[in-house]
Amino acid sequence: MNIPEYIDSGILESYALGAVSDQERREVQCLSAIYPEVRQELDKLTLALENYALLHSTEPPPDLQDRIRNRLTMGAPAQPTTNDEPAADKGAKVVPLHREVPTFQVAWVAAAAVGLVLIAFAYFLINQLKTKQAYADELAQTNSRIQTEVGQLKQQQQYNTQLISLLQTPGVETVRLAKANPAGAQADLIVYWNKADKQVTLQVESLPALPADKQYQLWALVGGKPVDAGVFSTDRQQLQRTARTIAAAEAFAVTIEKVGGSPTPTLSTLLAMGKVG
Amino acid sequence: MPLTQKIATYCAVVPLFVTTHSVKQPLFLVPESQLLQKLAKRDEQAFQWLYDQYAYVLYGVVLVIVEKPNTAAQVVEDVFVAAWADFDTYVPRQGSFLTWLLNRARLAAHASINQQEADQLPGNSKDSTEVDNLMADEHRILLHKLYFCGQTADQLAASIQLPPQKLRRLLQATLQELKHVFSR
Repeated sequence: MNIPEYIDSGILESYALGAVSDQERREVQCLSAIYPEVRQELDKLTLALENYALLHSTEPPPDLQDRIRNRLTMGAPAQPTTNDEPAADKGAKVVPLHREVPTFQVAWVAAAAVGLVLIAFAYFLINQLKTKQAYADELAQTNSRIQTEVGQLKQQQQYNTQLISLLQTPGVETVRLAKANPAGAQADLIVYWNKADKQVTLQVESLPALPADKQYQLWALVGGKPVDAGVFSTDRQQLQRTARTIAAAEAFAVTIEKVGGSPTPTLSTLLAMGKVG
Repeated sequence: MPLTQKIATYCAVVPLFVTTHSVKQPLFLVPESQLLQKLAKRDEQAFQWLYDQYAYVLYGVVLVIVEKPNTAAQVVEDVFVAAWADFDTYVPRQGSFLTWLLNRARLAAHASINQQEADQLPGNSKDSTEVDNLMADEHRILLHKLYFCGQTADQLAASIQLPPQKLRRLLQATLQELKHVFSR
């Protein structure tokens, strides 16, 4: 069936005005149930007629409402079985209309709330992360500083332990050397001479720095003759044991020589001296 | 009168350009769907809503038909009582509740007056002034006769001497115009 043509035929208008035969009425009812377009057009026509009727609205007599109410039986009808189907029909049509919109809105509001909470939580986490990172950096710095300090302390400790064990050894002679020339540079060092095993250990307290091609050399004076007692550096951090053994000595002296040492001392560079005993 | 005609012509022509608009829903406080739910329970509030929303229009339409306020009130009273009792026979699929009530009221009103009085009705004299200005005269009178005077299509065809097919076209034009009037 051609529906647009049917709608255009004028039968719907006649139906809405009640001007159709019984057969035509059944036909319109049947088709409007099947085709939404027919239903829609019919609804528009009846709406127009309702609006037309509403234009004629008039105020009824004031006592009409009470007259009607007095004749009505209130409360649900006694036989619910007969209207089960239409009631269900109505329910199915009405309930969604009133539920749909709020549910939709509630879902949106809930989604938005969840989104906000997530954003706030993420912001909180990022802040936490930044704080922790700064804290970790600080800790790493402190850690390396402490490690350096511990290293220094260990060295110091080793130095002290060596010194104590040296001093506790019986027969070790302590010889303090001071600058030989009153006008010369400041020079302080201590020589620990172990007479038993002939070892010489040096503790530098203060010596001028040397150019790269020069080195300090220690001499033991035996019977007025200088004996090579080994070269050493200006390192103040540790005790230095010289490479030579000294069997006898009356005094110790320090000169500046070329790297590696000289067989005889250069007396002009005599820097410090100290007598044994 | 020339003014009325001008407006009528205007209304007959202009709606051709607004055919896609849908018809305005009548404005009521309570949507029909809610009212129907209430009515199924038949409680006091259901009656209050029913009366507040539809008493004026039913009384107005019945009054146009029967002309006498006393008779109109009696008819409306009977229509309300009957609708209250028959509510379960209303099928939403077959049209709106207001149309159902209006059709019952019109039938009851026509039944309450006898045929001679109906024939004596002067046609358009009792029509609302608003409608006067809304539609072409020919259509307005036709609509009034069908809606308020209880004339059947056959009676109408005979009285204005038109073949049924032409009458149907006329009705179509009338109702389409009415539809457009309320689309604006």
